[in-house]
Amino acid sequence: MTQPILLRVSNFKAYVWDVDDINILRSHHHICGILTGTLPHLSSQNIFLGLPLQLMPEEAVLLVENGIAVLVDDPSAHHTPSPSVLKSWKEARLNDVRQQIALTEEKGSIEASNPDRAMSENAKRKRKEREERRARAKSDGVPCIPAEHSPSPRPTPENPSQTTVGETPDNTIAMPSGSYTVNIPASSSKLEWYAPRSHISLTIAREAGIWLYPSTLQERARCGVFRDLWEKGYYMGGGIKFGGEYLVYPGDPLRYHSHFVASVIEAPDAALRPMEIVAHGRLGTGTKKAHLLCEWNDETQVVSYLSVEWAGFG
Amino acid sequence: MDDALERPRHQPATTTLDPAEEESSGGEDGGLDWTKLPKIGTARPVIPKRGEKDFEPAPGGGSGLQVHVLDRARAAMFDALKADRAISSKSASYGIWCPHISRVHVTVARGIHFSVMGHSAARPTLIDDGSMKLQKRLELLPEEALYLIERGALFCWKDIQADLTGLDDVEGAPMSVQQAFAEIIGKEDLTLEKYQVFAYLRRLGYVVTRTDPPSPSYPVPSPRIGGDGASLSFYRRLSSIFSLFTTSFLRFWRGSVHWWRPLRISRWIHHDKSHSNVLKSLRVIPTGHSVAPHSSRATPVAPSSPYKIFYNMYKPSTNFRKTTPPQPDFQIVVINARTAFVPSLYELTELFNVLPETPPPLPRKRGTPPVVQSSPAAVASPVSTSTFRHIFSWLLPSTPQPISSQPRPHPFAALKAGKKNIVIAAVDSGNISFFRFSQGAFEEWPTL
Amino acid sequence: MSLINQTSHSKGSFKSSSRRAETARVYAHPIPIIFPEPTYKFLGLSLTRPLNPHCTAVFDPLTRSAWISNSGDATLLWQRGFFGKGDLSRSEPSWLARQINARQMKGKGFTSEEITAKRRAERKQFKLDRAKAMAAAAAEAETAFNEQGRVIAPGIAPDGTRIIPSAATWKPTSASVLSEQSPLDVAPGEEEDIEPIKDLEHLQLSLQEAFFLVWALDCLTILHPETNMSFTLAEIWNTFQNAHIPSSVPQLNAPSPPRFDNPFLVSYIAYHHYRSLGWVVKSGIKFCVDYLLYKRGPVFQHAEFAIVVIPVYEDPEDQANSPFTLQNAEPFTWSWLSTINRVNSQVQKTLILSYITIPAESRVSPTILSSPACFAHYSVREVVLRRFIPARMRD
Repeated sequence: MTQPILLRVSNFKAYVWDVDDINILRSHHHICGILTGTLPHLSSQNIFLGLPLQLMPEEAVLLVENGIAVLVDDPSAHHTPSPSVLKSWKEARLNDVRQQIALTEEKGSIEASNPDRAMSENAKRKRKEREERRARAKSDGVPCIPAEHSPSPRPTPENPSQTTVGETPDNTIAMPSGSYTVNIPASSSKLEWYAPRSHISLTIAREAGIWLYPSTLQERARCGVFRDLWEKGYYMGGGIKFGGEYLVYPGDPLRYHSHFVASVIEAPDAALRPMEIVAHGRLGTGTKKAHLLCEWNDETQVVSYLSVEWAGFG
Repeated sequence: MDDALERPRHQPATTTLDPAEEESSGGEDGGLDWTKLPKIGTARPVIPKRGEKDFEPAPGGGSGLQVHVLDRARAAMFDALKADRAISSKSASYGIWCPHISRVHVTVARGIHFSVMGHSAARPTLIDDGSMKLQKRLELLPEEALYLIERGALFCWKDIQADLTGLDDVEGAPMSVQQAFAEIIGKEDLTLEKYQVFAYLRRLGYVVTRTDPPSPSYPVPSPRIGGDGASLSFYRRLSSIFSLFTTSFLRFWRGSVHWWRPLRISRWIHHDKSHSNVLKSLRVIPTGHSVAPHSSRATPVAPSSPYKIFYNMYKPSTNFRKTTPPQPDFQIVVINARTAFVPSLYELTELFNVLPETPPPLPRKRGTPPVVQSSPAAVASPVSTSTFRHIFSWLLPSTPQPISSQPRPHPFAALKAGKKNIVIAAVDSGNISFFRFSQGAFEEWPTL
Repeated sequence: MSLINQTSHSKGSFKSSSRRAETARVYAHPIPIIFPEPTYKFLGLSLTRPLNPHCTAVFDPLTRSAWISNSGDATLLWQRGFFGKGDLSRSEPSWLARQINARQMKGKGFTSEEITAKRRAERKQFKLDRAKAMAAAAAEAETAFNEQGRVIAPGIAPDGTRIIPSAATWKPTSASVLSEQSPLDVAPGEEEDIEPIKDLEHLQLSLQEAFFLVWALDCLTILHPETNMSFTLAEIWNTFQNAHIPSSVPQLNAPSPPRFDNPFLVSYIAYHHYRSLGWVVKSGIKFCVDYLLYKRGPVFQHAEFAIVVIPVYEDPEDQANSPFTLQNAEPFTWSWLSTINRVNSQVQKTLILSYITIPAESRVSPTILSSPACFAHYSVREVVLRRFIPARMRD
């Protein structure tokens, strides 16, 4: 029995911070979520985003109800490290830094012994890249997103000799004054002072005050429809830009077009305006999708479906 | 003509992606090609491309080819997600997150970010001789700090009340990006939706500041000259008084509206016998935003309404000075699209009340970009001057020229631009849609 | 024959200048009232009277509309302001013209229906051909992968050309003998022994259009469907407000109780407001909105603005007590706004939210509803809605 995935909850939103978990959710459980963080090496655009993965509340509810995941109250999971824990953290970092600097020195000395060959290879490579870039920009005429220039993630090899590890008077070890990389960890799982407590059911989470969804009829309807479509094997994405609640895909959205735009109707006697049908018919047809009206019956807990397609006359 | 548009057209799929186009098409169905992204560490420019998508997987979960291509795409995505936030020690900034004041106190500030983020605040600090003194230090708002942390530019410690002697260089508990998300969001009125909008705009290069200063030390733009929304020049005021006079005068001349027979065509005055005058006499329905709408409630807008201007937005090209910020280019309201409704008339009126009027865009001269007029006085109010001319056209052989000789804006452009603008960002589970709500003024641009 | 939509070529910018001049002449008058050139003009005064066409229509309570069967009146009202819609046509009443053309074309060539049928068959064939080509390309890619482990881009031949046809490049395999004959080019001259066709079509005016013509322009008279007596203005005022009640006879009595949020009144306010500013106002249900605004008319250019009427109650109590459920009066969801904005931006129309305030019964006494004087207590405020694309607004 595999361990349930931890969903980190803060401010009533569920996040996934571990890439392996994201993989499992996507590949085994066809839950996609939406990436919402900055990709550090591509931080000037909004098309490709990175960690964390934000789950729709319906996705989190489904995962917990099916026992695939549990909710963790993230703020209280980050305990305060004691000074001794911090000391060991610092020492580990120091070791890592020393290793980095040692490597740099090694590389620097190799380059120093073969300056011409190393430089010319380096220079050749740089020149080639520059030319490629220029040719590409000319032929495409497409606006490019500038890549990151700063900060450079590699330590500069030009100062191999400036590394000193000094000792301060009160016997603490100061950080070396060469340049090395400082790492900001994305996920807290490897931190010693991170101790998550799982809330294994929605009821428990609700009692603990960290999760409230679903609490209205509309929210229950959304959960019901989402679950029903999920159980049929579909992948779901956000549909607000397409005139519905969800985009419904037959396979991974990375590779397949969606077939439907789904709207949730919260009760069998909810009003439906003719204009809504016109809108749903229009929007789907342009992109080879059909519109799916999904009606939730709160008493029988059953979803009924009606699809709408533009037919045209004459 | 619209008969041709009756039938929804099939839209062609595009394969290359203009980043701006991506936003406008609403992210047509994903299909991002992660395999074409440059590897971490290289400095090649990125052209985000769409991959071709299939209609559906073959039965059984997909054919061999389909599964292979999908695995490849997924692997590329997960690789990109695992990228480290590593920054050279020479470029890293450092700060301490102080939850009790909801600020990050910056101890080492490096890089260009701090030219547009962070403000100076005076805090009581323990100084060497043991006394407390008010000292100024650089602080970041929660959203600014979180943005720098997740971008990999700021290493942040959490302020812990512990004895850290003997641990030089350690200023608190080191924070992961995960902890930053968990703890920094929720403070100082920052919700996930507001943060997502902030980060979205910052990534595009905009400068984003808060409209309402969260503390007295937060710099805000100086109030607009002439008051908010009432910056009418002398000429405008004169012409509006004049038009008020002429309409009441004309009403007296013609008699007040006969409600069972509103059409008034003069028997005698020739110029009155035209289509435009017929229609003008029919404009009996009050219109326009200059008068606030009536409400039976004392406060038509609930205090819990989410419609308050939250961010000021400056274009990347603006000469932005942190300490004396200029007037913003745009102002933004952020709302959760699932829980909030479209703003009511009263909520919009309250938003428009604090916004300035923008003059209509001028038509483009060939070869030069469109110029937006700087002074509203130059645009003669079309209604008032035409009334003036029409009344006395039979007396004056030559009609008086309008005050300015600049080209008139195209009516459609003026109508679409509106007079006052507010940007509303509607966030639905990570999907952000930006809308611009503008005050319309159809009564100023009659077609006849 | 290319399958690119032909209609886009026959109107708009591809119109010849003579056709444009003809259109401008036919649709020269924006409202049914005409002002002839004066014989004498002195000091800006003249004695000429405006010409009023005095059209007649019959009220139909079941369809809540006014019908004009006199083709002269119908043509006049359509040509001078684009009022109404032919009930057997897409917009302008053209049923009779189409029947006559169909008769003339029979046996000679292809009628428009047959052209449409042929085009539809060709489109179906195109889709089949394309699907076959796509399946073949996909199968080829599959075999390449399974046998050699290569991943090739489907749909592209080795020399880089596309294997899969697009609408612009596809040609039907069977020879097409059809020449696109304009129906008007057919020389009339054949003697037909058939009796003339009776025009079964009428021009249908919505309640708003009818009221505008009757009350604001005073150029239309409305008759009772059973007695054929003309309604007085007060009777029309009551009947139209009662039209929401399903009935087979007009309800002539004043609505009781009279209410400011009567659906006819609210929608008429919007209609009158834009008509009085010179816009041609037509129904917008095709694009999920209330009205479409045209600068000169549907035959000139596509509508620029799509109007969504949003009633605003000054007093929420009035809304709670209301027997009506006005559309859009309930809080408007963002998903619906997003939907209609997307529908309209696909057809290049700007969405305008027209907020119409409904006076509170505590502020204005409902007795004023006995006449159109109540209009002075409503108000219209427009808000323009557009998408904002930060990536494009950076400079």
